[in-house]
Amino acid sequence: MKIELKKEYCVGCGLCEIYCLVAHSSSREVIKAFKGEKEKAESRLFLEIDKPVSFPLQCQHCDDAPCVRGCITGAMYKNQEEITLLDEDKCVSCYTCILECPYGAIQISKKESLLPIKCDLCIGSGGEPYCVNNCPNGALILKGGS
Amino acid sequence: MNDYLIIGNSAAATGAIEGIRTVDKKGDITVLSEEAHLCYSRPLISYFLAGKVDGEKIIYRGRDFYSKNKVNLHLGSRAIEVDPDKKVVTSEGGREYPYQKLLIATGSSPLALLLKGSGKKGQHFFYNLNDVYHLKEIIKEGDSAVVVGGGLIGLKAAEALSLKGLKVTVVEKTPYLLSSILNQASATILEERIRKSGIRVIVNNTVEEITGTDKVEGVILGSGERISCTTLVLAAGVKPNTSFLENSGIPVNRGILVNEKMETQREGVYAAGDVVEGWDPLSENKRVVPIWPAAYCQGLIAGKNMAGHPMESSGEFPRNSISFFGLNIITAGLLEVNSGEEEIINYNEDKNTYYRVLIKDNRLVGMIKMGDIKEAGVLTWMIKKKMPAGDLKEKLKSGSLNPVHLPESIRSILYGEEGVK
Repeated sequence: MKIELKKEYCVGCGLCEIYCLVAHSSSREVIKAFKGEKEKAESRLFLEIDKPVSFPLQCQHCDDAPCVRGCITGAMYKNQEEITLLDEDKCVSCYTCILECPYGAIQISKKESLLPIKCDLCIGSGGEPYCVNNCPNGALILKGGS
Repeated sequence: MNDYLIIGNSAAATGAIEGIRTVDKKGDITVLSEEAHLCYSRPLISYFLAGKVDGEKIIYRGRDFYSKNKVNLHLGSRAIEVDPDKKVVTSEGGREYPYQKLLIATGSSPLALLLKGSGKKGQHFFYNLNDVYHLKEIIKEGDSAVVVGGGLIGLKAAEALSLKGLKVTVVEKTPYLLSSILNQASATILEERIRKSGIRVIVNNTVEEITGTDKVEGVILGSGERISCTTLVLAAGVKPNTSFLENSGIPVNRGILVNEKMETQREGVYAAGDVVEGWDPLSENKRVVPIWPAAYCQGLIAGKNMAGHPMESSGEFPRNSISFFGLNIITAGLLEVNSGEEEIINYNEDKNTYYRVLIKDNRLVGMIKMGDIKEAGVLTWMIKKKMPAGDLKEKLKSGSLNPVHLPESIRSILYGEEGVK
């Protein structure tokens, strides 16, 4: 399962980042997520713009994921649905995953934990990934899986 | 008869077990482990010493890994001989293990220095979990420690000892720290960070003698300076563990020679990890690349081939992600600038970031990122896949390159079928 990018449809509006943050907030409501939460959530995809090109850097949940193979602690793993996830308790923030990810899709959290953060396909947020559901141009499409 | 016998129990062995089990769910797998521990993350021993991870978290795949994968694990069992003709491995104590396919994944060992006064209590390597258990018992806040070697292992040991409240001195024989992965300019930035964190750094110098009667009391340097200490850590490099193969007929150079299937020159015998000398596509030479990700990948490839599923390695090149006192460093590929190679450097003193890439024949062949390691893997991929970088020089100069900046010809490969192969 992964999110496929139709970059020809991306205009760099940034809603994917906004809704990714919402998906990872505790309220999962846009106003509260931005204004009303003690610790503001973070987006796990990273919109990059180099005009005229724009698209979010986002985990591709690679079959042969270099971040999983390279992880020195075993914290980066594949779940049963082959989604690439991070066991935050096991991670020591060595950032070998950042060395290995060819997509630049893993970045360092700005929170105190300094954990690497990446797309988790909204696995804890229920339903389809928020970026897919909220992209107004249909530039992000969920592929594979059920 | 073991269908699969694995000597060693670290990253390469784990990769091999997982590789075998993707192909063959049933065959017998036996692992001989010299150490009496479940596979643990060796790079985490400094975190373990510093108290940042515990004895549970350091275990690489969890306690049920061996039972889940139906592996017969023999802990504390050291292989002393391999007979590829009879297909038998003998362990210390004389027990024989017949096999169909063998993987040698015995890793490396720290180099023993021939120092005057060696062999005293308080003298340690910093290489395996037992080294750290021993260190944990003897060190006390306020003690003094000397670390011989300013490489990856020595500096991580120094950092951990310093975090435990010891007064630490690092003695490095080359002109600068981490000289195997940094250039002088970036090493200077690192050295400043390390000094500011309270560690004394001495370069261009060696430890000549260890003083004390039965316990370490200090060291004498080549310069004549005497430093008193109760703990001495020797971290002067590693060498592949191949001595037990002397009579095996398995060809060994610096490491065990393997082909792209991680197979040695003897039928049915494979090797992976720090113990092998494999192909480095950047230096275009056979070399030992003793890093965790390479060991895991080589093990995985060996395992699949052992189980009958053909898979080839495109080679491994040096690459590291490491941090010292919060300064993040990522490096990959070649380091030296030779004729015909172009260096692009971006140093921001205010932000304490340093960035350097090396271009050879229009291809990216090396990188150092320090302070800001964002999107480093894009460069690792460019290096690995030998992508043309000539048109990207302006972008590279800015210190940041991500998939948005790539020309469509390269980006389509990255996001295509062959992107991560």
